[in-house]
Amino acid sequence: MTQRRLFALSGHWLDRGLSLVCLALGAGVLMIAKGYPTSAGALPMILGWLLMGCGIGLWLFPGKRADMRNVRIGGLLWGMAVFVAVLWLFASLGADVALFVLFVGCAVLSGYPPGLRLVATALLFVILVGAIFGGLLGVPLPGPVFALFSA
Amino acid sequence: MDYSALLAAGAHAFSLWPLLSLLAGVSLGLVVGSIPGLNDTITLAVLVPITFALPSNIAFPLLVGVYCSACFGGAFPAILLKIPGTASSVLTAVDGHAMTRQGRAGQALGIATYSSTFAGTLSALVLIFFAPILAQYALRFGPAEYFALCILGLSTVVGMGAGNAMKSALACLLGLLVAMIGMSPESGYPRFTSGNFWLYEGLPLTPILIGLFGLSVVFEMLSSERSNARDKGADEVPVRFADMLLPWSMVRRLLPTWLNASALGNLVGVLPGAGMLVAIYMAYERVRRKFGERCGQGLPEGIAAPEAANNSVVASSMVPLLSLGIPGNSTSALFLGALLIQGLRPGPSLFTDTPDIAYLIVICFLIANLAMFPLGLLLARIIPNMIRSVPRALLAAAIACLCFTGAFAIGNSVFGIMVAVAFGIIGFMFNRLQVPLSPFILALVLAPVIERAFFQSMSLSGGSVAYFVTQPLSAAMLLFTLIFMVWPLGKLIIRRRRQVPG
Repeated sequence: MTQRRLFALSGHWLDRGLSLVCLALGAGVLMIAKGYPTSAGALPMILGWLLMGCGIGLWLFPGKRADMRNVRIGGLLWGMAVFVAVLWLFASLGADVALFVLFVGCAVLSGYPPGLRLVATALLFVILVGAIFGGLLGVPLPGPVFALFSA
Repeated sequence: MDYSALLAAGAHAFSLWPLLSLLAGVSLGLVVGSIPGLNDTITLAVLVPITFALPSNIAFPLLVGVYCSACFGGAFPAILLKIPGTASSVLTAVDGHAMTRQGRAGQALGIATYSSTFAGTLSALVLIFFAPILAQYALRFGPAEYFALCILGLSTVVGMGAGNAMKSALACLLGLLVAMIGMSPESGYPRFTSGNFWLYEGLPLTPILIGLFGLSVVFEMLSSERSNARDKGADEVPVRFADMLLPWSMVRRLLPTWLNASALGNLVGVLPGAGMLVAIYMAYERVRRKFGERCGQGLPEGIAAPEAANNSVVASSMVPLLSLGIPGNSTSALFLGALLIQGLRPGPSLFTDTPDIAYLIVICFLIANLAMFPLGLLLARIIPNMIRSVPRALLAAAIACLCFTGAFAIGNSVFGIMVAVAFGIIGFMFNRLQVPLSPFILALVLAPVIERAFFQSMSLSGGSVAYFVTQPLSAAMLLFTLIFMVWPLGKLIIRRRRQVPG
């Protein structure tokens, strides 16, 4: 319990951090909404004040259950990197290549052993997705392989 | 109520494709509900984009089937392995696993199946008879009543939600803020768009839900300890089919608990935003008060109460969505997405404009709950082995792929994926910081209604805010709003007084 209260990545310290973010966000919203006409800016102005009030409230009454310990930061960052790469692949090469990379990337990052078995599973899964979306449901997905299903 | 439309929908639901789709949904729901880490919302988030290419009479039975059975599916691993498959089966694990350790796993599964079916069916009947009546009444609602109702929904989710009320309020405000992005409904002035034309229409709802429920789980899996392990718990528990069929004496014994828990569940479900956890904790607390120390040591009522409560929330949470256009919880917000994708307008006019679909949805809830009984008994022996055979890593990869494809398919653009990824990160942070998602979703969905209703009321009243309290129904709802807002403070004061010695 004591460790939980003292550790910066758990308990009320995280909530205090969140309350500061909340205050900054509220101030930002107020600054932006000031430039809007009254009809468009009324609700954002109210929201900005309420966000700041909520930030103060959270600072005064923080919870104890927030917990960022046991988060594998490496896994999270690599995951985000894979997602960004897949986004680029989706737009440039097509959904088939992108989904294949996404499947293999996520499986390896989650601890599945890389190898032929994973490649075969990924291929089968991606083809299945293409067949369901392109073939059965008629939703066109971009990509050289998926184009065959749509045709 | 239009009985001819109800009968026609009933007949249509029993035709080949809708029925097959419904049964597939129920089976899928049982399986995903029983896999720890997956639940109804994740599955619906993945399925909603798929349904936009399906006709309504196949799409909705599938979604209803998944929604109805997933929270019951969570009871399997809770009872057999003490791993709740879904959040709604947390309390089922207490007495359920105690019964398994006593060699009464079959009976525990039987109690869960009977309780879920009984309460689910009762709740479906509430939906069938209550939603059209409420919809008819809601046709007379003016903007002031809609404004007050939305505010009441938001206050319920903040005041009655489990956990820190301040965080619920924060989630609610953030949801409202995200909903502000795009053009103002009143003046058409762009807000928080930074000149980006993709944001002028506002952020698309379905990719947001896919991110919050689907991709956040992927982030959770990627950031937890790497392992190729399958979900293990206790050793394999033999479950005999005959044990799952309850004797009449047990049914008679559990009937009062089912009725109590169902009444609670239906009441909580109908309130927009109150949430399933509130219902199961309240129902379990009643059992605990009645049975004292026997509770938690393999008491049948300890399974019956939470299972009946969570299943009765399912159908009744659709009452506010179908009759008023206001989702009762996060999962019904996904249904809202599905209705919009199909070109339908949720709200009072749903039962008058498209009675065939509206009544088909409510009838499907009844059939799905009835189908859950035989399917639950049949799958109870297969599912635990299935849980053990799924590698978590491949599960994460499959969910990620389906989320990306679904988010793309909604608008045929990569923008949908970007939104889903961004909200996946937000959802992950929310989970870690214990900020509840339901208030965020509810605020996101209700914000445009609130703003529109507010400005309409203002122009009707000539700019007088007193208009909201001079309309009797609106005034009553605002009074309840005040009570719900003050409720957490009252709870805090009572708790502190009890803690004072003497």
